[in-house]
Amino acid sequence: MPHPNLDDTQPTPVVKKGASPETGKSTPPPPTGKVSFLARFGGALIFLSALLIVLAIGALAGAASGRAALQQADAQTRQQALEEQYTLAVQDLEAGRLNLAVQRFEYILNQDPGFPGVTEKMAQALQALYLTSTPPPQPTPTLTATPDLRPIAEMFADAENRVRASDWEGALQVLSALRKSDPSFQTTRVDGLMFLALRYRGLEKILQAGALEGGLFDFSLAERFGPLDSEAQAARQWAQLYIYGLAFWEVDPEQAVKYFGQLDQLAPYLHDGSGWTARDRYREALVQYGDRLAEKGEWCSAMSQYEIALSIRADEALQEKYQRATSECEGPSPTPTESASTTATQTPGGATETPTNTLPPGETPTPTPSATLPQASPTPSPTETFTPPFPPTTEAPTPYPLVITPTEEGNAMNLASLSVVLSFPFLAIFLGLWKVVQ
Amino acid sequence: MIQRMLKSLPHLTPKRALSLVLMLAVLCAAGGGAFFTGRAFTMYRFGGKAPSEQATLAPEFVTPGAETQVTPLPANIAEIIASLTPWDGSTRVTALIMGIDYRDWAAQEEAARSDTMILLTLDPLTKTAGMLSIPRDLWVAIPGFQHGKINTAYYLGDIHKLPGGGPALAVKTVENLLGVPIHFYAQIDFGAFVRFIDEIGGVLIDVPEPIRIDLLGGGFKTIKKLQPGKQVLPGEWALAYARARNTEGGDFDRAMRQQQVIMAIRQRILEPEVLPTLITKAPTLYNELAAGIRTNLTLEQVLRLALLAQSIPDENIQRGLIGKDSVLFAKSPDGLDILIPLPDKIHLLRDQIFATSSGLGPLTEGDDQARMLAEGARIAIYNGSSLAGLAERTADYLRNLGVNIVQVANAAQPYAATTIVDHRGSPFSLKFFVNWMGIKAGRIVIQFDPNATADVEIFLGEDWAVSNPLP
Repeated sequence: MPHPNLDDTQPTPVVKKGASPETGKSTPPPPTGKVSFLARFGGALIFLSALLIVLAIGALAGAASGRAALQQADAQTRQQALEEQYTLAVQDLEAGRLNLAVQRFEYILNQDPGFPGVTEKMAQALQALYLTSTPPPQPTPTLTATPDLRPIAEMFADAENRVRASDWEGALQVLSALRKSDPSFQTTRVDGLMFLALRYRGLEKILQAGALEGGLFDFSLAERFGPLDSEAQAARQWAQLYIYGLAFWEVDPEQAVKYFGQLDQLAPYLHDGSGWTARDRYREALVQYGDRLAEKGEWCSAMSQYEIALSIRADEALQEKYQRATSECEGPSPTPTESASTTATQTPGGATETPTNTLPPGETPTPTPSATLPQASPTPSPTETFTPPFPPTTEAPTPYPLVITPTEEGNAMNLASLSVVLSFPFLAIFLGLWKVVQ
Repeated sequence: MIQRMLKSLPHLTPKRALSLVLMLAVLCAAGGGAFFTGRAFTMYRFGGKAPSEQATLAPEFVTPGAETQVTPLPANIAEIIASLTPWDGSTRVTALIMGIDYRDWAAQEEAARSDTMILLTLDPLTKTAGMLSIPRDLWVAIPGFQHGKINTAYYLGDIHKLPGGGPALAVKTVENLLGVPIHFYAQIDFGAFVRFIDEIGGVLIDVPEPIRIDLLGGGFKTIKKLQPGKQVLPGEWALAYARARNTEGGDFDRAMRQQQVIMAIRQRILEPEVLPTLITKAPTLYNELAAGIRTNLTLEQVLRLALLAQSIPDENIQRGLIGKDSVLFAKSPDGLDILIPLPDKIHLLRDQIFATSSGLGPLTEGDDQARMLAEGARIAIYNGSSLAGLAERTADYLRNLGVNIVQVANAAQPYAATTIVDHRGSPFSLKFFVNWMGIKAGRIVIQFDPNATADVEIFLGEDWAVSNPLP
């Protein structure tokens, strides 16, 4: 067994701080200037750097996570809104409120074209709404405020191509941008293209989209350049008749009958954005007018209105009204005949009142054969509409509450300053710990 | 190796070990704290909208229905404001401004009717503007519903939760009524209106006649009387003045007063010291007012439009209202007072405000003849009359004027009335020849055909043979 090193077992003298271990005598401390800053605070700096890095990484990761969470929440909210609109749209569709259903489906398609089932439902709603071959109304185009920075010549060529392709809407947008960029570029040609595009867009709006007022406005703009042609003039007159009739809708059926009666002769399939055609309106106005006359006891006149309405399209309810008016008009008969006035084509007795084919002052519609109208097709049923109750109109006694709710976000600080602020308490803790270590 | 590394470490006393552990704990806590604070800050700062969307403030028009949520402003809003330029779109911008019915609003109804509708329009190209007031009792077609008063559109859109709610349906209804595309809407509630007027230090109103106004709140103490003359009205008074309808003209007078207040706001904002201050304060003000405004305009769009509006002189602002002469007074089927619109009158008003002053007008200068010559259309003249040589004589006359005649021949069929056909879009030639030759409206044809050999074809009829100014 080897002898152990006995020196190792000897007690080690206690050395004071700053004394040499060999002598045990006190030695002067080294001059402070010789201990480098790094040696003294290196650890602290390393820790501080680590702290800042951790803080920065943490804050950035947090921001990214928050952003992802927000995006997810945003998507969820949108999805919920779309689902709600879809549910309401299906309800509207089932209840026959086709216009509302189409509005909602359009919105969903705009937001999310891939929304399950919406395309089929939209098609279903449109099919029900437009039994004729007329396309649905076009939504108002979204304009852009950002200037078109393409070279002028390129824009001009684009506009010409769009006019050739009958893309009137697109042509007008490009031409407007071109005029904004350089009003002096081919001024007369640009004016000519504007005229064409406005005239054709107006015609499309009136004859296809059912945007009657929009079409009339386009014609007004086109007329600032040059005179409208016979086709546009005819379309304008038809649209005006329709709008006049519509102004009196449900309020003064006699006036409505007057205007829609004229239009029924000129352009029976002209329609508005709701899908109603002039003929539908005429028929409905006749029924409303007949009802008014019947209420006043003018049965023979009412019968005439119902008769014309029946000649357009017969249905059971109208047939009953007609029979009632006929029997009231002819007076009580001792032996009522069952077969009296059971067909729409039967000529009723009594006074026959037909709608007067007069025009609003200054208007002379001239039907032009060249004007394109949808081909005659089965008259669609008017869309079922409904009137929900209006809100109460009583003056509310509640005092006026000011509802300015300031949002608080404006005072928030940015991420960088947050990191700095956050580091202060940690720095304080660190310095305390460092002191302990020392 | 690990052992060597461990040996190289300073002697690890328990105290040092504890400190090291604590430091690591501090780092972990700091990292965790920073993470959660960063996350909370981001969600708090950009709550409701993705930061990317906020930071750019998309300048495009927002389609009606896509309502801008009340969202906080981006951090760099000051820079955005400083770099803003006036609206530089190429086409007219139109916005529907709405106020809701006080009774529905005070009763905290689930949905309210609109009480005020003003259509504002700005044309960046011609530096013109206009405003048209629409009476609330106007009897109109409401898309998707039966006919009704125009003020119920807002209510119906909200109560039926249509996309875009009440404002979107109100916009559609007004578009249907006027045919003018509407890009934006803003519904401003009473509180926001008052706060804004107070912020700009009130508005100077020239009151034309004594008028009793009713400040919000109800009761006798809120009833005040304004004497004629110019006076600065604070927010609450300006609102009451705009809402008052107890003068002879009722709602029509009220619409005039509303336009007067809008013009007064404009005047006040344009004062040299007000607009810069307002723009500086815009973020704060936006945050304060946002809850009281329902709009699809972003703040950037508002400011850029404001800058554009600043450059439009007073004389270029057209004001109009659908007044007594544009309507018929009537009762609805359920006995309500309504106004039946007279389309012809309304069209005149609309065209005056939205079409006549529009940038969508001809830029070619000169009178009809100068414009026709500038157009340089290729003209073909065909004789459809029984008078021989008429086409040649007409062509010679026109050549002397400088007209570009490319073909002279006999028509394939006789024409009783002179007919003109435009194949290329030559409005100035059409206008000149229609006026000069007295061509009837029914004899003007537009058949676009870019491959036609002539831009304009004129078929001379018997009417021209009988009566013409040719030498």
